[in-house]
Amino acid sequence: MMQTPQRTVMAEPVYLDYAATAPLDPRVRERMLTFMGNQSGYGNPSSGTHEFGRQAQRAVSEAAADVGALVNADPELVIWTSGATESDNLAVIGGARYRQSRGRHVVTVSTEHKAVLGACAELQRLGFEVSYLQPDAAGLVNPLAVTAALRPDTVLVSVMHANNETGVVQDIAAIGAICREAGVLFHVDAVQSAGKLPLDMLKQQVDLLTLNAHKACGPKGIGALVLNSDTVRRIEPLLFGGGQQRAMRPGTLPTHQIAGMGETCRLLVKEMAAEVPRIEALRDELWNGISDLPGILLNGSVRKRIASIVTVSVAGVEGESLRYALDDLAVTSGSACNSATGEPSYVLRALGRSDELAEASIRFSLGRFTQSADVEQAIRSFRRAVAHLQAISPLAISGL
Amino acid sequence: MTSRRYNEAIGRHFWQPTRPRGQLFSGMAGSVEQGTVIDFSVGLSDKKMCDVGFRAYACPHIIAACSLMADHLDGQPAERLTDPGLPDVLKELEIPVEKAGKILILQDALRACYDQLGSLAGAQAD
Repeated sequence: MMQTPQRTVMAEPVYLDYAATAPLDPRVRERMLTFMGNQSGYGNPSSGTHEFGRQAQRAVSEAAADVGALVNADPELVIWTSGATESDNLAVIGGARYRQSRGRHVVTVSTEHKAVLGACAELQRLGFEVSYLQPDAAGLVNPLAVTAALRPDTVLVSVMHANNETGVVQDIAAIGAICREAGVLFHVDAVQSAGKLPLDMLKQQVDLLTLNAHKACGPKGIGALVLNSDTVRRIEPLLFGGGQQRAMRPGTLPTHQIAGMGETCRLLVKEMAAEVPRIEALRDELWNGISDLPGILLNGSVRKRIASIVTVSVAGVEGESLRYALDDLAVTSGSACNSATGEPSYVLRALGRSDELAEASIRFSLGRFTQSADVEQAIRSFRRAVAHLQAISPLAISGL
Repeated sequence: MTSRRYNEAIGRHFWQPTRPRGQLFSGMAGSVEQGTVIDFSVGLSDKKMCDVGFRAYACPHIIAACSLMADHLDGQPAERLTDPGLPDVLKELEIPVEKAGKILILQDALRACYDQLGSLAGAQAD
Protein backbone atom coordinates (compact mmCIF):
# COMPACT_ATOMS: atom_id res chain seq x y z
CA MET A 1 0.00 0.00 0.00
CA MET A 2 1.43 3.35 -0.99
CA GLN A 3 2.21 5.77 1.82
CA THR A 4 0.62 9.04 0.79
CA PRO A 5 2.66 11.97 2.07
CA GLN A 6 0.65 14.21 4.36
CA ARG A 7 -0.02 17.78 3.44
CA THR A 8 2.39 19.82 5.52
CA VAL A 9 1.93 23.53 5.00
CA MET A 10 -1.47 23.90 3.39
CA ALA A 11 -3.73 26.45 4.99
CA GLU A 12 -7.28 27.04 3.90
CA PRO A 13 -8.70 27.34 1.30
CA VAL A 14 -8.77 23.77 0.11
CA TYR A 15 -6.40 23.39 -2.82
CA LEU A 16 -8.08 21.81 -5.83
CA ASP A 17 -6.09 23.41 -8.63
CA TYR A 18 -3.55 20.71 -9.44
CA ALA A 19 -4.08 21.16 -13.17
CA ALA A 20 -2.61 24.64 -12.77
CA THR A 21 0.25 23.56 -10.55
CA ALA A 22 0.85 21.21 -7.65
CA PRO A 23 2.60 21.53 -4.30
CA LEU A 24 6.17 20.33 -4.23
CA ASP A 25 6.56 16.80 -2.91
CA PRO A 26 8.95 16.84 0.08
CA ARG A 27 10.86 13.92 -1.41
CA VAL A 28 11.48 15.93 -4.57
CA ARG A 29 12.59 18.90 -2.52
CA GLU A 30 15.09 16.72 -0.67
CA ARG A 31 16.54 15.50 -3.93
CA MET A 32 16.85 19.05 -5.23
CA LEU A 33 18.58 20.28 -2.08
CA THR A 34 21.38 17.81 -2.75
CA PHE A 35 22.43 20.08 -5.60
CA MET A 36 21.78 23.43 -3.98
CA GLY A 37 24.46 23.53 -1.32
CA ASN A 38 27.87 25.16 -1.49
CA GLN A 39 29.81 22.06 -0.54
CA SER A 40 28.99 19.80 -3.45
CA GLY A 41 26.61 19.25 -6.31
CA TYR A 42 26.99 22.70 -7.79
CA GLY A 43 29.26 21.84 -10.67
CA ASN A 44 28.35 22.55 -14.27
CA PRO A 45 27.15 19.32 -15.89
CA SER A 46 29.15 20.26 -18.98
CA SER A 47 32.39 20.43 -16.99
CA GLY A 48 33.40 16.81 -17.34
CA THR A 49 37.02 17.59 -16.56
CA HIS A 50 36.53 17.58 -12.77
CA GLU A 51 34.54 15.73 -10.16
CA PHE A 52 32.16 18.60 -9.44
CA GLY A 53 31.04 18.61 -13.04
CA ARG A 54 30.97 14.82 -13.27
CA GLN A 55 28.77 14.63 -10.17
CA ALA A 56 26.27 17.01 -11.79
CA GLN A 57 26.56 15.09 -15.04
CA ARG A 58 25.60 11.87 -13.28
CA ALA A 59 22.60 13.55 -11.69
CA VAL A 60 21.42 14.79 -15.08
CA SER A 61 21.89 11.34 -16.60
CA GLU A 62 19.95 9.71 -13.77
CA ALA A 63 17.14 12.19 -14.19
CA ALA A 64 17.03 11.58 -17.94
CA ALA A 65 16.76 7.86 -17.25
CA ASP A 66 13.83 8.52 -14.91
CA VAL A 67 12.08 10.60 -17.58
CA GLY A 68 12.82 7.96 -20.19
CA ALA A 69 11.38 5.26 -17.96
CA LEU A 70 8.14 7.20 -17.56
CA VAL A 71 7.52 7.45 -21.30
CA ASN A 72 9.59 4.55 -22.67
CA ALA A 73 12.14 6.71 -24.45
CA ASP A 74 15.88 6.87 -24.94
CA PRO A 75 17.29 9.04 -22.11
CA GLU A 76 19.83 10.42 -24.56
CA LEU A 77 17.02 12.22 -26.36
CA VAL A 78 15.51 13.98 -23.37
CA ILE A 79 15.90 17.71 -24.02
CA TRP A 80 15.62 19.80 -20.87
CA THR A 81 13.67 23.02 -21.17
CA SER A 82 12.28 25.72 -18.90
CA GLY A 83 8.83 24.10 -18.92
CA ALA A 84 5.98 22.92 -21.06
CA THR A 85 5.51 26.17 -22.96
CA GLU A 86 9.08 26.05 -24.19
CA SER A 87 8.79 22.33 -24.94
CA ASP A 88 5.62 22.87 -26.97
CA ASN A 89 7.22 25.77 -28.85
CA LEU A 90 10.38 23.79 -29.51
CA ALA A 91 8.41 20.77 -30.74
CA VAL A 92 5.99 22.63 -32.99
CA ILE A 93 8.26 25.31 -34.37
CA GLY A 94 11.49 23.34 -34.19
CA GLY A 95 9.92 20.19 -35.59
CA ALA A 96 8.10 21.92 -38.43
CA ARG A 97 11.08 24.02 -39.41
CA TYR A 98 13.38 21.02 -39.40
CA ARG A 99 11.06 19.26 -41.84
CA GLN A 100 10.12 22.31 -43.92
CA SER A 101 11.97 21.09 -46.97
CA ARG A 102 9.19 18.47 -47.21
CA GLY A 103 6.34 20.92 -46.76
CA ARG A 104 4.93 23.75 -44.70
CA HIS A 105 1.62 22.45 -43.40
CA VAL A 106 0.78 21.62 -39.77
CA VAL A 107 -2.33 20.09 -38.18
CA THR A 108 -3.51 20.74 -34.65
CA VAL A 109 -6.74 21.01 -32.64
CA SER A 110 -8.62 24.17 -31.68
CA THR A 111 -8.69 23.09 -28.01
CA GLU A 112 -4.92 22.68 -27.62
CA HIS A 113 -3.04 24.53 -24.91
CA LYS A 114 -2.13 28.07 -25.86
CA ALA A 115 1.53 27.09 -25.87
CA VAL A 116 0.77 24.98 -28.95
CA LEU A 117 -1.71 27.41 -30.49
CA GLY A 118 0.72 30.28 -29.98
CA ALA A 119 3.50 28.29 -31.62
CA CYS A 120 1.19 27.50 -34.55
CA ALA A 121 0.38 31.18 -34.89
CA GLU A 122 4.09 31.90 -35.07
CA LEU A 123 4.47 29.25 -37.79
CA GLN A 124 1.70 30.96 -39.74
CA ARG A 125 3.59 34.21 -39.40
CA LEU A 126 6.60 32.40 -40.86
CA GLY A 127 4.56 31.28 -43.86
CA PHE A 128 3.34 27.86 -42.77
CA GLU A 129 -0.30 26.82 -43.13
CA VAL A 130 -2.07 25.39 -40.09
CA SER A 131 -5.28 23.33 -40.07
CA TYR A 132 -7.25 23.48 -36.81
CA LEU A 133 -9.43 20.43 -36.15
CA GLN A 134 -12.65 20.88 -34.19
CA PRO A 135 -13.47 18.37 -31.44
CA ASP A 136 -16.97 17.00 -30.96
CA ALA A 137 -19.25 18.07 -28.10
CA ALA A 138 -17.44 15.67 -25.78
CA GLY A 139 -14.12 17.29 -26.62
CA LEU A 140 -12.89 14.30 -28.59
CA VAL A 141 -11.04 14.38 -31.89
CA ASN A 142 -11.92 11.59 -34.28
CA PRO A 143 -8.62 10.14 -35.57
CA LEU A 144 -10.22 9.96 -39.01
CA ALA A 145 -10.41 13.75 -38.93
CA VAL A 146 -6.63 13.77 -38.65
CA THR A 147 -6.38 11.48 -41.65
CA ALA A 148 -8.65 13.80 -43.60
CA ALA A 149 -6.59 16.84 -42.67
CA LEU A 150 -3.27 15.41 -43.81
CA ARG A 151 -1.84 16.71 -47.06
CA PRO A 152 1.23 15.83 -49.08
CA ASP A 153 2.97 18.86 -47.59
CA THR A 154 1.98 18.15 -43.95
CA VAL A 155 5.07 17.89 -41.76
CA LEU A 156 3.70 17.86 -38.21
CA VAL A 157 0.58 17.02 -36.20
CA SER A 158 0.19 18.23 -32.61
CA VAL A 159 -2.56 16.78 -30.39
CA MET A 160 -2.51 16.93 -26.59
CA HIS A 161 -3.08 13.74 -24.61
CA ALA A 162 -5.37 15.11 -21.86
CA ASN A 163 -6.94 18.54 -22.07
CA ASN A 164 -5.93 20.92 -19.29
CA GLU A 165 -9.43 22.38 -18.89
CA THR A 166 -11.67 19.35 -19.25
CA GLY A 167 -9.36 16.38 -18.71
CA VAL A 168 -10.67 14.76 -21.89
CA VAL A 169 -8.26 12.17 -23.27
CA GLN A 170 -7.48 11.83 -26.97
CA ASP A 171 -6.65 8.54 -28.66
CA ILE A 172 -3.00 9.33 -29.28
CA ALA A 173 -2.10 5.76 -30.25
CA ALA A 174 -4.56 5.85 -33.14
CA ILE A 175 -3.42 9.30 -34.24
CA GLY A 176 0.20 8.21 -33.84
CA ALA A 177 -0.35 5.28 -36.18
CA ILE A 178 -1.92 7.56 -38.78
CA CYS A 179 0.97 10.01 -38.59
CA ARG A 180 3.58 7.28 -38.72
CA GLU A 181 2.05 5.79 -41.81
CA ALA A 182 2.00 9.22 -43.46
CA GLY A 183 5.57 9.98 -42.44
CA VAL A 184 4.47 13.02 -40.45
CA LEU A 185 5.95 14.07 -37.10
CA PHE A 186 3.52 13.59 -34.21
CA HIS A 187 3.83 15.84 -31.16
CA VAL A 188 1.91 15.21 -27.95
CA ASP A 189 1.63 17.56 -24.98
CA ALA A 190 1.40 15.06 -22.12
CA VAL A 191 1.68 17.50 -19.25
CA GLN A 192 -1.71 16.64 -17.74
CA SER A 193 -1.58 12.91 -18.39
CA ALA A 194 1.96 12.12 -17.21
CA GLY A 195 1.70 9.77 -14.27
CA LYS A 196 -2.05 9.40 -14.73
CA LEU A 197 -2.17 7.42 -17.97
CA PRO A 198 0.32 4.99 -19.49
CA LEU A 199 2.75 6.71 -21.81
CA ASP A 200 4.85 4.72 -24.24
CA MET A 201 6.37 6.73 -27.05
CA LEU A 202 7.32 3.63 -28.99
CA LYS A 203 3.99 1.82 -28.79
CA GLN A 204 1.91 4.99 -29.17
CA GLN A 205 4.17 6.14 -32.00
CA VAL A 206 4.74 9.58 -30.57
CA ASP A 207 7.72 11.41 -32.07
CA LEU A 208 7.90 14.45 -29.80
CA LEU A 209 6.50 14.52 -26.26
CA THR A 210 6.14 17.49 -23.92
CA LEU A 211 6.47 17.06 -20.15
CA ASN A 212 6.95 19.31 -17.18
CA ALA A 213 7.50 18.74 -13.48
CA HIS A 214 5.32 21.16 -11.58
CA LYS A 215 1.95 19.65 -12.53
CA ALA A 216 3.11 16.43 -10.89
CA CYS A 217 4.40 17.77 -7.56
CA GLY A 218 7.79 18.67 -8.97
CA PRO A 219 9.54 22.03 -9.26
CA LYS A 220 8.42 24.86 -11.49
CA GLY A 221 10.77 26.09 -14.18
CA ILE A 222 11.78 22.73 -15.62
CA GLY A 223 10.34 20.63 -18.41
CA ALA A 224 11.44 18.33 -21.16
CA LEU A 225 10.86 17.63 -24.79
CA VAL A 226 11.46 13.95 -25.43
CA LEU A 227 12.37 12.76 -28.92
CA ASN A 228 11.56 9.32 -30.22
CA SER A 229 14.95 7.85 -31.12
CA ASP A 230 13.37 5.63 -33.76
CA THR A 231 12.10 8.50 -35.85
CA VAL A 232 13.56 11.87 -35.00
CA ARG A 233 16.98 12.72 -33.67
CA ARG A 234 17.07 16.38 -34.50
CA ILE A 235 14.87 19.49 -34.62
CA GLU A 236 15.64 23.14 -35.22
CA PRO A 237 16.59 25.00 -32.04
CA LEU A 238 14.84 28.11 -30.80
CA LEU A 239 17.87 29.24 -28.80
CA PHE A 240 21.49 29.54 -29.84
CA GLY A 241 24.63 29.47 -27.75
CA GLY A 242 27.04 27.00 -26.26
CA GLY A 243 25.88 23.88 -28.00
CA GLN A 244 24.59 22.00 -24.96
CA GLN A 245 22.00 19.29 -25.56
CA ARG A 246 23.30 18.71 -29.08
CA ALA A 247 22.68 22.37 -29.80
CA MET A 248 18.93 21.74 -29.83
CA ARG A 249 18.53 23.67 -26.59
CA PRO A 250 21.75 25.31 -25.46
CA GLY A 251 22.34 26.83 -22.04
CA THR A 252 23.84 25.65 -18.75
CA LEU A 253 21.72 22.86 -17.36
CA PRO A 254 20.06 23.59 -13.98
CA THR A 255 21.13 20.46 -12.13
CA HIS A 256 18.86 20.93 -9.11
CA GLN A 257 15.80 21.49 -11.31
CA ILE A 258 16.63 18.53 -13.49
CA ALA A 259 17.25 16.30 -10.48
CA GLY A 260 13.89 17.43 -9.13
CA MET A 261 12.13 16.55 -12.37
CA GLY A 262 13.89 13.19 -12.45
CA GLU A 263 12.71 12.43 -8.92
CA THR A 264 9.21 13.59 -9.87
CA CYS A 265 9.11 11.12 -12.75
CA ARG A 266 10.60 8.34 -10.64
CA LEU A 267 7.82 8.81 -8.10
CA LEU A 268 5.18 8.84 -10.83
CA VAL A 269 6.41 5.49 -12.14
CA LYS A 270 6.64 4.03 -8.65
CA GLU A 271 3.29 5.27 -7.32
CA MET A 272 1.04 5.59 -10.34
CA ALA A 273 -0.65 2.23 -9.84
CA ALA A 274 -1.81 3.19 -6.36
CA GLU A 275 -2.20 6.93 -6.75
CA VAL A 276 -4.40 7.05 -9.83
CA PRO A 277 -7.24 4.86 -8.48
CA ARG A 278 -7.18 6.83 -5.23
CA ILE A 279 -7.51 10.17 -7.05
CA GLU A 280 -10.09 8.73 -9.40
CA ALA A 281 -12.22 7.63 -6.45
CA LEU A 282 -12.02 11.13 -4.98
CA ARG A 283 -12.96 12.65 -8.33
CA ASP A 284 -15.98 10.38 -8.56
CA GLU A 285 -16.93 11.22 -4.98
CA LEU A 286 -16.81 14.89 -5.89
CA TRP A 287 -18.90 14.52 -9.04
CA ASN A 288 -21.41 12.25 -7.32
CA GLY A 289 -21.74 14.84 -4.58
CA ILE A 290 -22.78 17.62 -6.92
CA SER A 291 -24.19 15.92 -10.01
CA ASP A 292 -27.79 16.13 -8.75
CA LEU A 293 -27.76 19.92 -8.55
CA PRO A 294 -30.26 21.57 -10.91
CA GLY A 295 -28.66 22.93 -14.04
CA ILE A 296 -25.27 21.29 -13.55
CA LEU A 297 -23.42 20.07 -16.63
CA LEU A 298 -20.21 18.04 -16.85
CA ASN A 299 -17.91 19.43 -19.50
CA GLY A 300 -16.26 16.90 -21.80
CA SER A 301 -16.50 13.18 -22.25
CA VAL A 302 -17.83 11.27 -19.27
CA ARG A 303 -15.70 8.19 -19.87
CA LYS A 304 -12.58 9.38 -21.70
CA ARG A 305 -11.07 11.63 -19.06
CA ILE A 306 -8.12 11.58 -16.71
CA ALA A 307 -8.58 10.77 -13.06
CA SER A 308 -7.87 14.20 -11.70
CA ILE A 309 -10.13 16.74 -13.43
CA VAL A 310 -13.82 17.53 -13.15
CA THR A 311 -15.02 20.66 -14.96
CA VAL A 312 -18.62 21.68 -14.59
CA SER A 313 -20.87 24.48 -15.78
CA VAL A 314 -23.97 25.61 -13.94
CA ALA A 315 -27.03 27.03 -15.66
CA GLY A 316 -28.84 29.95 -14.07
CA VAL A 317 -25.91 31.37 -12.15
CA GLU A 318 -23.50 34.06 -13.18
CA GLY A 319 -19.83 33.06 -13.45
CA GLU A 320 -18.17 35.76 -11.40
CA SER A 321 -20.64 35.28 -8.57
CA LEU A 322 -20.07 31.52 -8.63
CA ARG A 323 -16.32 32.01 -8.29
CA TYR A 324 -16.83 34.60 -5.57
CA ALA A 325 -19.08 32.27 -3.63
CA LEU A 326 -16.39 29.58 -3.67
CA ASP A 327 -13.91 31.69 -1.80
CA ASP A 328 -12.93 28.81 0.47
CA LEU A 329 -11.82 26.68 -2.46
CA ALA A 330 -8.68 27.16 -4.52
CA VAL A 331 -10.26 26.31 -7.85
CA THR A 332 -10.31 28.08 -11.17
CA SER A 333 -12.92 28.82 -13.72
CA GLY A 334 -12.91 26.19 -16.40
CA SER A 335 -13.25 29.16 -18.65
CA ALA A 336 -9.65 30.22 -17.97
CA CYS A 337 -11.19 33.62 -18.36
CA ASN A 338 -8.76 36.11 -19.70
CA SER A 339 -8.78 38.94 -17.18
CA ALA A 340 -7.80 41.47 -19.81
CA THR A 341 -10.48 40.63 -22.35
CA GLY A 342 -13.08 38.86 -20.20
CA GLU A 343 -13.37 36.26 -22.93
CA PRO A 344 -14.88 32.93 -21.86
CA SER A 345 -12.94 29.72 -22.44
CA TYR A 346 -12.18 28.89 -26.06
CA VAL A 347 -12.04 25.24 -25.05
CA LEU A 348 -15.56 25.12 -23.61
CA ARG A 349 -16.94 27.18 -26.46
CA ALA A 350 -15.40 24.68 -28.90
CA LEU A 351 -17.42 22.01 -27.09
CA GLY A 352 -20.58 23.98 -27.85
CA ARG A 353 -21.11 25.65 -24.51
CA SER A 354 -22.67 29.12 -24.59
CA ASP A 355 -20.62 32.05 -23.39
CA GLU A 356 -22.70 32.13 -20.21
CA LEU A 357 -22.13 28.45 -19.43
CA ALA A 358 -18.46 28.72 -20.29
CA GLU A 359 -18.21 31.61 -17.89
CA ALA A 360 -20.18 29.81 -15.16
CA SER A 361 -17.76 26.91 -15.07
CA ILE A 362 -15.48 25.59 -12.37
CA ARG A 363 -12.53 23.27 -12.81
CA PHE A 364 -11.77 21.04 -9.84
CA SER A 365 -8.42 19.32 -10.22
CA LEU A 366 -7.19 16.85 -7.64
CA GLY A 367 -3.78 15.45 -6.89
CA ARG A 368 -1.36 13.66 -4.63
CA PHE A 369 -2.20 15.48 -1.42
CA THR A 370 -5.96 15.73 -1.91
CA GLN A 371 -7.84 13.99 0.87
CA SER A 372 -11.45 12.92 1.26
CA ALA A 373 -12.04 15.78 3.72
CA ASP A 374 -11.02 18.24 1.01
CA VAL A 375 -13.55 16.77 -1.38
CA GLU A 376 -16.26 16.83 1.26
CA GLN A 377 -15.63 20.51 1.87
CA ALA A 378 -15.67 21.17 -1.87
CA ILE A 379 -19.04 19.46 -2.17
CA ARG A 380 -20.48 21.45 0.75
CA SER A 381 -19.18 24.77 -0.57
CA PHE A 382 -20.26 24.15 -4.12
CA ARG A 383 -23.76 23.05 -3.15
CA ARG A 384 -24.17 26.07 -0.90
CA ALA A 385 -22.94 28.46 -3.60
CA VAL A 386 -25.15 27.06 -6.35
CA ALA A 387 -28.23 26.83 -4.13
CA HIS A 388 -27.77 30.43 -3.02
CA LEU A 389 -27.26 31.82 -6.51
CA GLN A 390 -30.10 29.85 -8.03
CA ALA A 391 -32.39 30.94 -5.20
CA ILE A 392 -31.82 34.61 -6.00
CA SER A 393 -31.77 34.14 -9.78
CA PRO A 394 -34.76 35.38 -11.77
CA LEU A 395 -33.99 32.86 -14.52
CA ALA A 396 -35.70 29.57 -15.05
CA ILE A 397 -32.80 27.11 -15.07
CA SER A 398 -34.15 25.16 -17.99
CA GLY A 399 -34.39 28.38 -19.92
CA LEU A 400 -30.67 28.74 -20.45
CA MET B 1 -10.59 32.14 -5.64
CA THR B 2 -9.91 35.60 -4.43
CA SER B 3 -12.26 38.20 -3.07
CA ARG B 4 -9.77 41.01 -2.81
CA ARG B 5 -11.65 43.09 -5.37
CA TYR B 6 -14.76 43.11 -3.22
CA ASN B 7 -15.22 45.10 -0.04
CA GLU B 8 -16.87 43.86 3.14
CA ALA B 9 -20.26 45.33 2.30
CA ILE B 10 -20.31 43.31 -0.91
CA GLY B 11 -19.89 40.10 1.06
CA ARG B 12 -22.61 41.03 3.52
CA HIS B 13 -25.17 41.89 0.85
CA PHE B 14 -24.10 39.04 -1.43
CA TRP B 15 -24.76 36.35 1.15
CA GLN B 16 -27.75 38.01 2.84
CA PRO B 17 -29.50 39.94 0.12
CA THR B 18 -32.79 41.67 0.69
CA ARG B 19 -35.20 39.16 -0.78
CA PRO B 20 -38.59 39.91 -2.29
CA ARG B 21 -41.39 39.44 0.24
CA GLY B 22 -44.35 40.25 -1.89
CA GLN B 23 -44.68 41.09 -5.54
CA LEU B 24 -47.16 43.90 -5.98
CA PHE B 25 -45.08 45.73 -8.54
CA SER B 26 -41.97 44.54 -10.32
CA GLY B 27 -39.64 45.63 -13.05
CA MET B 28 -37.18 43.53 -15.01
CA ALA B 29 -34.16 44.61 -17.04
CA GLY B 30 -31.03 43.17 -18.64
CA SER B 31 -30.35 39.89 -20.38
CA VAL B 32 -28.26 36.78 -19.97
CA GLU B 33 -26.13 37.92 -22.89
CA GLN B 34 -25.39 41.11 -20.99
CA GLY B 35 -24.43 39.02 -17.96
CA THR B 36 -27.02 40.76 -15.81
CA VAL B 37 -30.74 40.23 -15.29
CA ILE B 38 -32.49 42.07 -12.47
CA ASP B 39 -36.09 41.67 -11.31
CA PHE B 40 -36.86 44.36 -8.75
CA SER B 41 -40.09 44.31 -6.78
CA VAL B 42 -41.85 46.62 -4.32
CA GLY B 43 -45.01 46.74 -2.36
CA LEU B 44 -46.90 49.95 -1.56
CA SER B 45 -48.42 51.03 1.73
CA ASP B 46 -49.69 54.56 2.42
CA LYS B 47 -47.91 55.77 -0.73
CA LYS B 48 -44.61 54.49 0.57
CA MET B 49 -42.64 51.52 -0.64
CA CYS B 50 -42.53 48.37 1.46
CA ASP B 51 -41.40 44.77 1.06
CA VAL B 52 -38.73 45.93 -1.36
CA GLY B 53 -36.65 43.12 -2.79
CA PHE B 54 -35.09 41.67 -5.91
CA ARG B 55 -33.87 38.65 -7.78
CA ALA B 56 -30.69 38.88 -9.84
CA TYR B 57 -28.48 36.97 -12.20
CA ALA B 58 -25.44 39.16 -11.84
CA CYS B 59 -21.93 39.61 -10.52
CA PRO B 60 -21.35 40.13 -6.79
CA HIS B 61 -21.13 43.92 -7.17
CA ILE B 62 -24.54 44.15 -8.81
CA ILE B 63 -26.19 41.68 -6.43
CA ALA B 64 -24.92 43.78 -3.55
CA ALA B 65 -26.02 46.97 -5.28
CA CYS B 66 -29.53 45.59 -5.68
CA SER B 67 -29.63 44.57 -2.03
CA LEU B 68 -28.34 47.91 -0.80
CA MET B 69 -30.76 49.74 -3.03
CA ALA B 70 -33.65 47.67 -1.68
CA ASP B 71 -32.65 48.65 1.85
CA HIS B 72 -32.45 52.32 0.89
CA LEU B 73 -35.80 52.39 -0.86
CA ASP B 74 -37.81 50.66 1.84
CA GLY B 75 -40.17 53.21 3.42
CA GLN B 76 -39.47 55.82 0.74
CA PRO B 77 -42.09 57.34 -1.59
CA ALA B 78 -42.43 55.53 -4.92
CA GLU B 79 -41.01 58.51 -6.79
CA ARG B 80 -37.59 57.58 -5.42
CA LEU B 81 -37.55 54.77 -7.96
CA THR B 82 -36.81 57.42 -10.59
CA ASP B 83 -34.04 59.04 -8.59
CA PRO B 84 -32.66 56.27 -6.39
CA GLY B 85 -29.24 57.70 -5.57
CA LEU B 86 -27.07 55.32 -7.54
CA PRO B 87 -23.85 57.31 -7.02
CA ASP B 88 -24.09 56.64 -3.29
CA VAL B 89 -24.40 52.91 -3.97
CA LEU B 90 -21.41 52.96 -6.28
CA LYS B 91 -19.38 54.70 -3.61
CA GLU B 92 -20.44 52.56 -0.66
CA LEU B 93 -19.75 49.31 -2.48
CA GLU B 94 -16.63 50.59 -4.25
CA ILE B 95 -17.94 49.34 -7.54
CA PRO B 96 -15.17 49.52 -10.15
CA VAL B 97 -15.64 51.93 -12.99
CA GLU B 98 -15.76 49.16 -15.62
CA LYS B 99 -18.96 47.90 -13.98
CA ALA B 100 -20.69 51.24 -13.89
CA GLY B 101 -22.53 50.30 -17.08
CA LYS B 102 -24.15 47.36 -15.34
CA ILE B 103 -25.53 49.69 -12.72
CA LEU B 104 -27.60 51.21 -15.50
CA ILE B 105 -29.40 47.88 -15.74
CA LEU B 106 -30.41 48.30 -12.11
CA GLN B 107 -31.58 51.79 -12.97
CA ASP B 108 -33.65 50.35 -15.84
CA ALA B 109 -35.21 47.75 -13.54
CA LEU B 110 -36.16 50.41 -11.00
CA ARG B 111 -37.65 52.54 -13.75
CA ALA B 112 -39.61 49.56 -15.10
CA CYS B 113 -40.91 48.97 -11.60
CA TYR B 114 -42.04 52.57 -11.34
CA ASP B 115 -43.68 52.44 -14.77
CA GLN B 116 -45.64 49.36 -13.78
CA LEU B 117 -46.65 51.00 -10.55
CA GLY B 118 -47.81 54.07 -12.48
CA SER B 119 -49.76 52.12 -15.08
CA LEU B 120 -51.52 50.02 -12.45
CA ALA B 121 -52.35 53.12 -10.45
CA GLY B 122 -53.70 54.70 -13.66
CA ALA B 123 -55.78 51.62 -14.38
CA GLN B 124 -57.26 51.74 -10.89
CA ALA B 125 -58.10 55.46 -11.35
CA ASP B 126 -59.89 54.62 -14.64
